[in-house]
Amino acid sequence: MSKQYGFYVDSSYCSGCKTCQAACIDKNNLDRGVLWRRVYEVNEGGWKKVGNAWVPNVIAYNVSLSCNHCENPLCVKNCPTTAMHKDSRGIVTVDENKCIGCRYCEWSCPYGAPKYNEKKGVMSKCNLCADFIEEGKDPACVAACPMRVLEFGEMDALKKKYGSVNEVFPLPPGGITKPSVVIKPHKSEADVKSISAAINNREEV
Amino acid sequence: MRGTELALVFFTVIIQAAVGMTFFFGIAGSSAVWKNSLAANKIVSDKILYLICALFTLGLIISFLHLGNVKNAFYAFNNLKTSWLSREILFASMYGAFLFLFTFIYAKNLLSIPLQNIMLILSAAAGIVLVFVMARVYMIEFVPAWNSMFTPLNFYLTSFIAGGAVFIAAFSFLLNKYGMQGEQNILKIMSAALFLLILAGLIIWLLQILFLSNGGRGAVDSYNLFIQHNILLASVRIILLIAALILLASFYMGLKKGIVSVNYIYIASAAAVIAELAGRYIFYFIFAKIGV
Repeated sequence: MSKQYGFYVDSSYCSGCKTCQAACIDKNNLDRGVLWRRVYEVNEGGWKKVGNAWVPNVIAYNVSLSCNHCENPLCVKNCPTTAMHKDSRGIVTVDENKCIGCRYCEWSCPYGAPKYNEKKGVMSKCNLCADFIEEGKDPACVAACPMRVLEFGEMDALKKKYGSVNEVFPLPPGGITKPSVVIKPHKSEADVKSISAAINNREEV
Repeated sequence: MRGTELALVFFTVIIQAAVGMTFFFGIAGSSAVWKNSLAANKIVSDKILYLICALFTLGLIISFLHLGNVKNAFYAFNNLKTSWLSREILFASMYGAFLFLFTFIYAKNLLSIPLQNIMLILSAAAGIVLVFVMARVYMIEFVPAWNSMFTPLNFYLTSFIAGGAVFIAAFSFLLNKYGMQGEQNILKIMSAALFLLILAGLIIWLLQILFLSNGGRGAVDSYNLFIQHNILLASVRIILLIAALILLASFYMGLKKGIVSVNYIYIASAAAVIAELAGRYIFYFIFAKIGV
């Protein structure tokens, strides 16, 4: 594999506007309910006493996530047909002509990336807007983000620029699949364990 | 739970029951039931083998219902190198091939008894590997409720409980129908074995739930799904298993006194099979990942 493309996500500034989601749906003509890019809203909180005062003790941040085109993708490993495969640019993609729609990739992926196409009976997923990349353009989600919190590029360059954090709540540990994503955590992410935060838009994503 | 997973509930339990029945068929064979040269014995054993083949075929047909695009099914063998699902399909094919070949040879009495036994052993061995491979399909790294030794353990228990239940019910029915006598010993052994298997299955299943409640992220999500949505079904499963245990014990005690209460066996078997289906439904329902 010559290169590995990936994303940088600045969760600390993501406003959760979901323009990236909408741009992805528009570019890929996705059916209702099929989200190749999803924005997870993490929030929880209450009050805590500091001295004689009660102060807000909350966490609230968003994580914009698509397929992470992992270095070791479990969807590819577990796909019985090899329809799910990784190309020379490191893009994990589905060959609809081979897919049997067993949805095993959907079970396997800890990032919820493969989505079922009810009409065709096969899986679908983010292909990093491969056609845009060929034309030298950014993927639709990156180009549309009004907060400029998404960036696309070769992983080596992204890691050099932003470090190597690839796991923030609610994402899984990155050690097994080695996701091609770098994330800048929101400052309140550090309090996730003490406040027991949860994804609050489960039904949407 | 999606409809496709309902198909998987039936597919896995039915195929596993066929594997369990193959074993019970072998046990009955080694207990000299089939070796008896009485024509009636041959009728009974042939019919039980046909039932196993029918169950396997039914399971296989149901397995296609969870596919979105059946016309590509042939590609499912493509990834034997890394995909347990590919391997499951391979071993299901192998088990089916051995089973049908053995049934044909046995029913037509084509080969010598030792060669027939070798075929039976090969079928049972392929079945045992198949159940293990089926379990491995579900042992996904980020799904703690599935990724533990409880999965293969429960799959094997389902094999022997559902398979044993169908076998003993069919065996009792056919013995009753063809008026064969003197087979109470094998019924005694099988009802005792089924009693112990059900008891073990119940204890292990309860231990698994306890394990989930004390687990980390993902495991606790599964436990919450169990508590919030499956308590009623779980209660039904426990009641059915306890009822099956009581009926099997009564049947066994009856046999000691020379009474063959076949109705007890029919009800116990039905209860055990329904309980296994309920257990498998819950297994799929509590799917929760570490991640999103």
